Amino acid sequence: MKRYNGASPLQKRSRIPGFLAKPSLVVGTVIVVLVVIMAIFPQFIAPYDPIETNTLIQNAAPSAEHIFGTDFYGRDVFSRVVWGARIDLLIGVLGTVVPFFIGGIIGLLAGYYGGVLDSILMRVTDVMMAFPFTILVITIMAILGKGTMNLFIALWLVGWMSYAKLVRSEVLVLKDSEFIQAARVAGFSDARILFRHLLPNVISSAVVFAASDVVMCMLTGASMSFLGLGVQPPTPEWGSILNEGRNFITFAWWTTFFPGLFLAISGVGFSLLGDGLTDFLRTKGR
Amino acid sequence: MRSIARKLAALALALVMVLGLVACTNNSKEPEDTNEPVGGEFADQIVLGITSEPMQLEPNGPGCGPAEIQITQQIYEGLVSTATDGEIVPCLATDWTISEDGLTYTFNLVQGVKFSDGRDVKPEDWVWSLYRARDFELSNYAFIAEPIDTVEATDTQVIIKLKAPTPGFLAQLGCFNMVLGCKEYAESMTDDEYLKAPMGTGPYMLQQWNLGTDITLVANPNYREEGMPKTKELKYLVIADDNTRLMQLQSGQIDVAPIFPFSLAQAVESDDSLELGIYPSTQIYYLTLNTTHAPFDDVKVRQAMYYALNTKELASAIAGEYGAPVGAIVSATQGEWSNTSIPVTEYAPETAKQMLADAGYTEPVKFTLTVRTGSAFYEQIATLIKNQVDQAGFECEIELLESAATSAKFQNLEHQSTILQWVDDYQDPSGVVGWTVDYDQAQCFYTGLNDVELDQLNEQALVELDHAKRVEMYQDIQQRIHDNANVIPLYRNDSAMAYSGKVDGVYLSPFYVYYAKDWTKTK
Repeated sequence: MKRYNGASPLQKRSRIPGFLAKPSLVVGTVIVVLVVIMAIFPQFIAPYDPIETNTLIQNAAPSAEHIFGTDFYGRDVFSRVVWGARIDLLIGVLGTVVPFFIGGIIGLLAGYYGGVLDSILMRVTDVMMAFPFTILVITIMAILGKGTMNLFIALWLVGWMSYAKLVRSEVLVLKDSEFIQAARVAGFSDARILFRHLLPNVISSAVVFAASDVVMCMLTGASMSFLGLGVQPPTPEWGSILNEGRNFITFAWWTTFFPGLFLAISGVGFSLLGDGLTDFLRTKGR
Repeated sequence: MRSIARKLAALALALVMVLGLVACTNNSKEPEDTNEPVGGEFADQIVLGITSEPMQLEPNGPGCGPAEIQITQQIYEGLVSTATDGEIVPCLATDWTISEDGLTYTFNLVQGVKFSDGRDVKPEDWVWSLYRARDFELSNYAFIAEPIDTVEATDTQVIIKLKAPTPGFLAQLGCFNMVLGCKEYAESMTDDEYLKAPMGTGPYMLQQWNLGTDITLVANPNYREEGMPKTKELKYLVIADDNTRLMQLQSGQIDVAPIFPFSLAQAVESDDSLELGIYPSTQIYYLTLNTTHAPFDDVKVRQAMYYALNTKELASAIAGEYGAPVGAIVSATQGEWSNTSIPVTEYAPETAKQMLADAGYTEPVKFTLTVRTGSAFYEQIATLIKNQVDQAGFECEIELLESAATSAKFQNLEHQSTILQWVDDYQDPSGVVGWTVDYDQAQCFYTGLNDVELDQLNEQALVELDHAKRVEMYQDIQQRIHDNANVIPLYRNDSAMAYSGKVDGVYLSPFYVYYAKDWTKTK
């Protein structure tokens, strides 16, 4: 059977290193790096305190002093957006990493051992996957109450299923392959086979999915805050800034436009990174 | 073969879509205005956009608020009503006499009044209605009818005897819950049904209520005034979001947006086809502190709060030119009843810190401010307060909860502090004062501070017949409430209505009441 490996002959011959040959990967990485810098060093970028109010300059239009204008409380929108990156990125990354590990291990075990364990784990996943992602997160938030920690818990409870499914299906393909059989015959322990031989070979698709899952988590986090469930005021977070600006959108568009723009750009950045990674890993082959 | 099957499938899909389009086009072609009668300079319908759906439409029902009252006021009428300027004017009574001891009120009735279903008003309806206002167990406003001892009625008169002389009673009779219902009609169904199927003698009657979307009122054919109401139909659309209300107002989908937020006033004023009505109101926003828990069980901490709040900033930031900070808990719109000698405390963070230090608090005093979501005002006030008090020796954490959860929390005194507002229901200070000092009404504005001495003063003021002396007593009560510092007035504001320039006659009374029977809309 012929397999298309994703790389054109031209690219193979090109002198540009493989990494740079993928424009989506480059653009995605640049955007993500910028967002990460913003999230790590907001105090050097933001000119004002993001939560200090000054009601003398309510809803001021963008100007030299406040390049993104000010919000209803006279807070600098640019500073709030910059500080917001930290929380949004945290939601995106933490909301992805924990399910990545939990889901990965569950998928690995379910796929490798099969049987009753597989049936139980996969039926649980099926039931949870039957509900739309956002609805499930809202439901869990409604039970737990609002707040950033509860938002994380909700994202973790819901997020692991995709990784479990993904890793399990890869394990099913590989577990009867020759090198695994060889490892078994050599008398290696299950743990060694699972983590040394299987895991490195099944993880790449989960990594690719994780890059786009960060976007999903960020957007869900922002939606929850927009609905007033996630991050609580006055902490700056893009979704909650959007929500606060909503009441004034008819004459102070800047309080909703800029956080929305940053949310959209970082979403695109992470998606491009995910796409680029897919291509890159596929080109390199397994 | 397979490709043919695919083509067929695609063709079928296209056909379905075309059919769908045709169906849609047919619908939209249907003439919309065939039913509109010819002639007359006024439109038959005025559409109002309201932010929350009423829970029921009977003014004695549980949890009655502006959403319910603004509709029930078009359906029900009482003996008297409150005019725009707060004066008590005849309604279903033509005139009245009050006995010298202040205990017996005799009302002469308008003759020939019918309910909207054509039934005649009977004397027993009056007796039933006024007792219902006082005794219906689900009502939140039974205290307004509390002074009533007995009610007797004949075909021409209603005689009300009070338990004790009550100077504010006539004003209380002008309230939204002291209205006439039909005993026979109400008793023909269960309580729950009656709460959703109101019937009175007012200019409008309920025609249709589509839960979650709209409520339609139509003119009462048996209304006692010829030619009233001027507009045949009122349609209330439930539009939760204020921006959406504004857009629908601009596009002409709604004609009136009652109780409109000031944050959007600018957008209305800049639109030539819209009007913004500003009306004096008795509304005041309060910060209420739960005195049954630390740290607000300490009166010194509560008093420090006066200096930690910048009420000027609150008023100007949120209500702009339509608001002002206040010192007394009784609104200045109540005239002489308000104690204007209580000053508005200037923002003095250092003084507040010093007061806390004197009271033995060396660390910032932590507290949670619980406010409801859904209305932007509360969150805005809370955010500004947090910023102010955090610089004055406090450390405030905001907790946003959905409206029902917030109410449950403060009604059980499980909160530390919250923001509440009050709009008087009648021209007299007894409403807000009773709510603040009479523990049985609302645990003293949900602060749990049962000041027995103050409550006794209140009870004396309620029955004091000498006007000057009564005014003085209420001034004293307000000063004592100020010293207790459990209910801290933040600011007062006007109320606003946004409406289309085609609509005439719109107004809102200081008690959040309007009568739509005079409203007209030019075509």
